[in-house]
Amino acid sequence: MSVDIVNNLKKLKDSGVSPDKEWVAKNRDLLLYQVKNTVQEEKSSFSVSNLWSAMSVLMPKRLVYSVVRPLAVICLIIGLTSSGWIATVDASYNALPGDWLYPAKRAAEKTKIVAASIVGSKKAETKYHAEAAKQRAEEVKQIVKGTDQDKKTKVPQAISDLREEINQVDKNLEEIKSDPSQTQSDEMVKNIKVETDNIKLSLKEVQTDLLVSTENEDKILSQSIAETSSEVKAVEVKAVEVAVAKHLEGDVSVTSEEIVDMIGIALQDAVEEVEESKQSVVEAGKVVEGVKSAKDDSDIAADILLLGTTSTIPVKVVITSSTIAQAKVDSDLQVKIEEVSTQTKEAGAKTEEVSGRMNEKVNELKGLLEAGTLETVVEKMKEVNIVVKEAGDLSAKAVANVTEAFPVVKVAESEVEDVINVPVVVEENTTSTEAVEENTTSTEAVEENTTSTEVVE
Amino acid sequence: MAVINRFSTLNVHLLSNKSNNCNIFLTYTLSTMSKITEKLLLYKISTNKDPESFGLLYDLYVEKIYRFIYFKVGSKEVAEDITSEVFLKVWDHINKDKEIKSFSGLIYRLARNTIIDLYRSRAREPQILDIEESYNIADTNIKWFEQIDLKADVRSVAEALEKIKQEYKEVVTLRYIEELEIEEIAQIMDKKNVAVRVTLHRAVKKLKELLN
Repeated sequence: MSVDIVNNLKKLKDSGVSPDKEWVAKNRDLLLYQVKNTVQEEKSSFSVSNLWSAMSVLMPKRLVYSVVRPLAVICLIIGLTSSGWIATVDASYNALPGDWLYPAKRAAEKTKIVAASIVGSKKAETKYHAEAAKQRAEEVKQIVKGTDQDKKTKVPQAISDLREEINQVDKNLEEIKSDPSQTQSDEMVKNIKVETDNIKLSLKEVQTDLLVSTENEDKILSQSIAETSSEVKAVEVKAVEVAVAKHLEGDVSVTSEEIVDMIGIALQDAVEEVEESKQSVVEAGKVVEGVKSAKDDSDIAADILLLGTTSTIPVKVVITSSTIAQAKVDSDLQVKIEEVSTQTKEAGAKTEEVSGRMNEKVNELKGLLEAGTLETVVEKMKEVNIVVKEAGDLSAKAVANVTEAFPVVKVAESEVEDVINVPVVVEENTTSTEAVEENTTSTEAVEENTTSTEVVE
Repeated sequence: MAVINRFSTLNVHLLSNKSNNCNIFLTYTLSTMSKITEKLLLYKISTNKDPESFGLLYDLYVEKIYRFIYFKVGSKEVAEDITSEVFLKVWDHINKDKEIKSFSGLIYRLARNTIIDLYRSRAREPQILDIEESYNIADTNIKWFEQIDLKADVRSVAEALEKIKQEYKEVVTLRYIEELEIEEIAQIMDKKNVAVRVTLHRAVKKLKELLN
């Protein structure tokens, strides 16, 4: 019966109770006309909220807003942060302190270090610290070379950061050395060697740049860079020390040949450095003598003298005819020149002495290496480093004396090739190791340089 | 899925003319398709304020709404007036950016409320109304089925429909004439699904009693 009722009700629907077709059409037009009047003529542009309402056409609105939308937002956030992180870190690679991306760069470095320390890889951590140190050294270089107005505050900060990283490397190396479970250290030692070489190179460039500066702060900076340099060298020795210690503990990854090679290279570097220092002092002496011996205005021989020839970017002392003319009448300047002259001579004598000591040490070390007593080799290396530092300090002092007395400029590399005594310098540099063995070359070098000035005339 | 099963079994039970599952499936697919079309139109209206989409929506619903109102008011002219008023209200409602769970639910509810409003305003202002006219409306209201050509059994059902409670009449109309789903009816009448089922059951029972 109920079925009949339902069927009859359905029939009722089709029983002509439908609106008049004419009225339907008329009402439609009227309705649309009324509706159009309420609409402003602006087309809505795309908006995210439209996206969600469009989605709710196909799925329940609640699902869209409580599941799909949060999910989409989370995906977007993850996507943006990860891709943004990668892009930022990539872009921040060359950022300098004060740049807005610099914190990202530091954060990325720290993350690496923290990740390594969480994993418990002391070696990786040390490597990353060394990398960070290299970055800091690079930054110091960039800032010094750049035209940043806050140079004076940024450089010391970067140097102190660099020293911090170096100290951290040193500390980690100490821990690795005393921890017998840390093996396979050859890779790390090599990495550190590469990084420290880079750091030393950057620092040397910075020092050359600071030479041309007459400002007192730069002298102090130069001093602290010299200190950092010796710290870096100490770390280098420490790395060798770790290699030796591990080798003696039985770490097969470090062979004695490798250690001998490493020490050999370090030794050669040290010898070259002492020789460079000595050369700098000689050059400085030559500049002073050149000024002293200049007879008249036309005699501007000193103009082409190079200072700091050992650096990749040499510095030229500019002594013009007016300086010389002034030196003739200005008693103060004469006194000063005299003073510098004696100082430089003293420095020359001292470097000579240091160089002699260096030779002794080198010979001792060579003997030790031949004998294969690696334990004492490290100690000797440290002594060698002290000598290197001594020579470096002497030359820095001598050069500083000269640059204080006379104006200096940096010489562009292309210009260096034009300067006549460069071939002499290059020759000296290539034969520097031999030079140590023959102590007589230093006097020859002076002679050679005087001849080169003659050529210029 | 459970909902679909429930409707399909209900349909099979009610129709009892052994309509096959394929038919039910087709009906369901069609109704789903029309729901999606409906939602798409609503989306266009709410985001683009597109009168053309509203026109399409009007085409889909005008007949149903007119019939729903006509059954209630029993007058062609009044039904026409209320129908156009309802569609204007619908346009306003869509553009208020309120969530619309079911469009049919919304439009029938608006129609229902508009009719109620009409009755109320007439009740509040009896002096303005011509007594004879109001009597006429009431008169045509009862005899709307007499104005159309109906078969005897259909007419008796229509007569019975006029005799039962307003609430019963409404549920039965919405369910069996307009073929809305229980959920939609619940939304229109502002009741729970269970309450609608119970009311519907009672209404059919009452109709049976009257017809017997």
